[in-house]
Amino acid sequence: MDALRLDAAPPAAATQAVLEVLDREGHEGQDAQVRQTLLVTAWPLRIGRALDNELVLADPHVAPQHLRIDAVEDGLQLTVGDTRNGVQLGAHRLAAGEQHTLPLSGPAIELTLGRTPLRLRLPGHALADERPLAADVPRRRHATQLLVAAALLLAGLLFNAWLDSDPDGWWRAAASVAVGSVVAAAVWCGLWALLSKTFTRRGRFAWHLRVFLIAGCVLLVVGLVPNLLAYSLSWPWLGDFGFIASYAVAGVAFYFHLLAVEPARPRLMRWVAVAGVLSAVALTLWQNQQRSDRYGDELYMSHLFPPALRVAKPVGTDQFMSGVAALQAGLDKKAKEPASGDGGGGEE
Amino acid sequence: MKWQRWLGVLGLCVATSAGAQPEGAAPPPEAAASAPLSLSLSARKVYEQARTQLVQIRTVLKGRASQTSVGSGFFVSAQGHIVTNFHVVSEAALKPERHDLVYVTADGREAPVVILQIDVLHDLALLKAADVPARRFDALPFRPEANALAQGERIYSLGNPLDVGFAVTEGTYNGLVKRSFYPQIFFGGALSAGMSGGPALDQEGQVIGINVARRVDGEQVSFLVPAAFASALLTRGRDALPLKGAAYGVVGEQLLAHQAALTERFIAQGWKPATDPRYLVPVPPDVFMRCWGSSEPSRTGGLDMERSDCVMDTRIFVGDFNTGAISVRHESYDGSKLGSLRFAARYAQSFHNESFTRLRAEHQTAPQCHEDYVDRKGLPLRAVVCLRAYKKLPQLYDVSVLVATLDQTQAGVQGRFDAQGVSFASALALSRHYIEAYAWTR
Repeated sequence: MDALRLDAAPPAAATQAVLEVLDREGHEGQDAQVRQTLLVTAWPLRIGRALDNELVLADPHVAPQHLRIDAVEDGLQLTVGDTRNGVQLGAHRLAAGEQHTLPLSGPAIELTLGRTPLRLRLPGHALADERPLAADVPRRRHATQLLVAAALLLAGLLFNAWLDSDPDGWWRAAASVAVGSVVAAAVWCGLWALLSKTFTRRGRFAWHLRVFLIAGCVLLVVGLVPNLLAYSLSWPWLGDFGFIASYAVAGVAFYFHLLAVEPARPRLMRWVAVAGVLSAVALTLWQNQQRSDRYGDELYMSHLFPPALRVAKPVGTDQFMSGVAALQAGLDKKAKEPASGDGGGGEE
Repeated sequence: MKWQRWLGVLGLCVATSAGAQPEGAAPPPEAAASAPLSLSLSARKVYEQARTQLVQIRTVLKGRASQTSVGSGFFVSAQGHIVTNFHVVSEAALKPERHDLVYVTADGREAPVVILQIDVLHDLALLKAADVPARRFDALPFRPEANALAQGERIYSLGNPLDVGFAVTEGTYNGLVKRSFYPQIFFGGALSAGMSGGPALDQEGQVIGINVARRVDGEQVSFLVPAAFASALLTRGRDALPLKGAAYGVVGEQLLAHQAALTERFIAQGWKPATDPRYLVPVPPDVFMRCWGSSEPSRTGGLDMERSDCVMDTRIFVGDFNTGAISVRHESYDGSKLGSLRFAARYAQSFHNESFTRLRAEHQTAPQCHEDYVDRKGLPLRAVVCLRAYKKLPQLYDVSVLVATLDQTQAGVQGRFDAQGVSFASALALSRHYIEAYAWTR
């Protein structure tokens, strides 16, 4: 009988919900690290620092009776207790005494008490599909992508080194470029990986490498195209302000690097990157203005390519000289201004 | 071009001469003391005759009584007119609010002096003793122009080198300097800083020239301004009133006259023939310019280059800087060992490597440029013209022209033309003259 009674012990109460305490830093959503799990078998569920709560938190920014969730007729109702800091529920902030009905379907409910993020999962909430253990195919594709980008970048750098070297010095130049770029990539991506590791506990070296390689390839193109067009069409301003395109590419690369450091705040990182690019552009323009009294990078277009790439038609001397004559008014105006800065050379 | 050093700018030299010997310094004290014994009899006679007419000109900081530069000078009239170099008095002439001018005689008498007239083109200034108006001064006579000296004749240069004391140096008359824009006498003798503005006398003690400069890369290669210019300045300025305020206006006027003459002579002289097998490349004839050429084959199998550099020896000293000169340069590149892509990269690098800032921002505006492809009878050129305006010399500009030929894939010529201190009209005329000199030879 006794044994029978033991066997027939009342069945464990059914799990009504799961409450997870998440790690304060790190990923959002599914990838978040769970520090503690509480199976909720009965309502109400109370959370706070006091010992009479079902979930007792150690966070000093949490009130003794911070929150309770009651089962009501048409679902679950959240009531904020006597707290200074309130409760962050998704995008809403609830103050002390406020009540809120919780949705029984859709994604899991994310709430933050003090500095502790929590997740409440109900039976009606959607569950993500099972993730395969190792994403074999995409990883191989990533590796191929990385290799192609690396090959392209290295080829571009070697081509530039070839352009700038004399036939006798080519192999030496090539070796130093190859070694230099590999070391640079390793150091750059290594430092970013270190940052990622510090903030997210994952290095993500491959991600950073990918960003570096793609950005490097794009930068090579962006460094060439404006100058080529400036030569071809005789548009000196393109060479003058070509640096803006390069800065933009660098900004985008910076954004993707940052994304692997602080994945929880893509919007903030976007603004950081945009602000970085804008301030770099403004600083360069200001510097150019101080140095040479003009905003552009180059006093004159000096990018000469093979003659076949020139599209613009040469003008006659008369037309050219009338363009020179037009400079007088501006020069005479500048000559009357007092000297600003020290944009001077010292030939004598 | 640093070889031609003005002699008067001595402030620093004198201050540091205690230990180290300044560049081209006077002989050490012992040698100086024994020097009179080794001088010929006529040097002694000449010095004794000229001693009372000789002065040192000092530029003194207002209210501080310390000298910023020293030079020499000499009396040319009984009323107390003194001739010296413009560069000796340039600080007092251009920044009168900060500088005073005094003269000191051989017996140590010091008195104020004022500037009546300047001639920046020949680097001369006419001063007048401002101490005792009624006094009569001993004056040195000018040697008549008709009575020319023969090459090799002994002449004597007087002055106060490095503020050490009045001295006489012997040397020879070597005729006029070749390829100088304005006539200058080639004096085969030693000049030192501080002797600027002092007289050079013949055996009879007549002034034949005024000490002005020397070559620091040679020995005893010195220059004198012919006395005729000083005599003309005296005639012109004998009764002039002292200069009031900074002399930039007068300097500007004289530079305008200079640039007009320079532009006219430069354009009129045309170009040298046959300067490149494929192109007509502008190289000026060696009339008042000197061209140096060099050939630099690449040692690493790269770009072969030949270059020609033409510069003027004459330039006009205007206080803080020089101006009034023209230079013409070109480089012929042969990149047949490089191939077209590599050649283009190297050719662009060389085209990029040009600077247009010469003077500090207080003297000149930043350069402003116009650029385009220019067609020269079928030969396509990239041409850039950059101008800078002078801030204190109104209506004067520096102009630079860059040209690169763009018809060949593995060879080309790049040229640069510079003219300093020209009017805008002259700048346009010179630029056009230069650009239009480019064409194919056939």
